[in-house]
Amino acid sequence: MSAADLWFLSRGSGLVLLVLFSIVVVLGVATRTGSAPRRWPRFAVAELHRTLSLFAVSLLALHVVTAILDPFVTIGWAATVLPFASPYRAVAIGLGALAVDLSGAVLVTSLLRQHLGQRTWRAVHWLAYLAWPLAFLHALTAGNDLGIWWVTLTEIGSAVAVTTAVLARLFSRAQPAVRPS
Amino acid sequence: MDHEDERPGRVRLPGYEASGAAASSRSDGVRRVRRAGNWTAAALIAGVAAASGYFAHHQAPAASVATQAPQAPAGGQVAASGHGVTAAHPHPSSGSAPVATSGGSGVAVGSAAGPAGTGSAAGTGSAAGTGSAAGTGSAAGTGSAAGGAASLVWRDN
Repeated sequence: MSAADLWFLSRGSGLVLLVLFSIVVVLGVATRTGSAPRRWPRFAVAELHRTLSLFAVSLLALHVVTAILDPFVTIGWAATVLPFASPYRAVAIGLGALAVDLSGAVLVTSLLRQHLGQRTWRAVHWLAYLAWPLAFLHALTAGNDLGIWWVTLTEIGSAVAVTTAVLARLFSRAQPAVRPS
Repeated sequence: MDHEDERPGRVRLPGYEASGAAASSRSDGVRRVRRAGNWTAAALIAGVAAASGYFAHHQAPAASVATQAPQAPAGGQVAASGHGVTAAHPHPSSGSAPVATSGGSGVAVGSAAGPAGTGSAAGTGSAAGTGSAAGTGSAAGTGSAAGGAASLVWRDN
């Protein structure tokens, strides 16, 4: 695999990762609000949210490793977790590193959920709402592909989906709970 | 997932066995999740492959700037010494061009034009370093040749 292949793979995996991350966020919101397709039980949505989150970790690993192994830019392993430590596009890569850190915290606390307790887990899980915009900004600033129409469309679609889900979450939160009589 | 129910120390709720519809619904849901997970994994692999393939095939040929002759900017000496390697790399896919030379190795990184076809590594030379221009690498970019390690300077067009 050549250096150029690494670069292409990093870009491709990053774009797909943004889409997957958006789907995970939407599924997470759907889990919380109890929204599910008619023929899907609610636990299935939660289970899918969990499964796709683990897929996202794998894809994130691919995205990061290919970016670092690409010899034409100097990012460094430390810059994957230390924000703004990259000599190459410090701000753009730093936003991605921040998103990685926050997502990592969400992931670890989810894996240790039974040991941490519901309240701690939920408090950390809120960070996902911060991680997604950081990842989105990273995609906008680090990527060079906004001139490609379908890439732009994909990123706009991701933003619309997540924004809609978050608004739905806020709206459902604002509504008073109705107790069954 | 099903086997989780069989873990020791767990006791089924009363009436579980009798609720055949609930068990059926649960297994149906589990099956759906597995199917969706498998399809998603396949879609992810296909998506990454398709996107990477698109990026690879829809970039313009490597720029010929990688073979530019060395230039010594006025008022300064080019400190490119060493390997004198020139290479083309498609990093700046659209409108963002690495214009770099190094002081250490004399590597000149060319660029490929992206879909927009605007990539270019030819910038205004500014070699502020001192040293001998012993290498054959071209100093066609804006990177400073300061006699240190190779550095890339990116410029958004």
